[in-house]
Amino acid sequence: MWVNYYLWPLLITVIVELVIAFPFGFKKVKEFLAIVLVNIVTNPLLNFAFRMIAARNYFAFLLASEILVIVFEYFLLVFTFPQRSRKRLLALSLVMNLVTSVLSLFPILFGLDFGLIFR
Amino acid sequence: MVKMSFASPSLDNGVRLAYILLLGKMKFCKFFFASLFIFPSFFIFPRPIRADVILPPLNPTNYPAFFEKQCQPGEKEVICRVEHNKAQQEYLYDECHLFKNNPHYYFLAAAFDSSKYCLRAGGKEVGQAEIERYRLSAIQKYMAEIAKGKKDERLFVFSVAGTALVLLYVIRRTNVG
Repeated sequence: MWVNYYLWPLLITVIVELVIAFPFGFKKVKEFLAIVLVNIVTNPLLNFAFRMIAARNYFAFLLASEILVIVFEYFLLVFTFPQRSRKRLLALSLVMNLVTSVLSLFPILFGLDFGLIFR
Repeated sequence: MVKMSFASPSLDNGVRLAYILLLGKMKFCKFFFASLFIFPSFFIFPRPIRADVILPPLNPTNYPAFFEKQCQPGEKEVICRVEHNKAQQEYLYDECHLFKNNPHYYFLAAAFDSSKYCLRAGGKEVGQAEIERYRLSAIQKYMAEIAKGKKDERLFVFSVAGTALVLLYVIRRTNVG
């Protein structure tokens, strides 16, 4: 079922990103919820793009989409937390997505056939 | 001195919003709303459709038994294939279906994606037009299934993203408030 293609990556990405958000001072339930919602916006859209677009150069497409996601998540975070430092939010978006995209490469590099898990 | 005034409060708000979005008094808001339209537009626009990859014919050295087996004299040999959309690794159609349950044909051999059938002496031949008609209907059915699946998926993804955006807005309101 195609829904699984969205649920598992989203779940794992959210867990990883919540762990990363904690040292950045995101400790309240409302803040955690915002991180989850930001991922609910970007992660299914990105997985949808990967399913719909048969990219010739997979890694170039991954890199371009990651940059787009970092920028988009930064905007969403600034929109949700206007009182917070923008530099800090940019750093958070950058670190969260870098970690998840590096982790997403592990299944590919080690030849495991379950595609991209994190994004 | 002429003092500008707006006729209604709603018009006033609308002009103010347009001013914020278009003239950029609040630069961030402008970028945020612009990104809301730009980001999904990458996925809304139709992607180029790639032609299906036709599988190469079977290599006789890899499947000698398949090529050695011959129909009886006076019988006509037919080789049919199961076609896949190789790019998507999806099943397209099985043209052997036309011969499998046909009493005028009998199965001879199979290898990889191909099967060999023989037309019995005096049997009714499946014409090329019939094969083409089957292929066309199978491909149309396949395309309809794909289109339906993609439509459902797109609806799901954008509904989820839209709902999450609304909830983020609610969180923002509580933060700002």
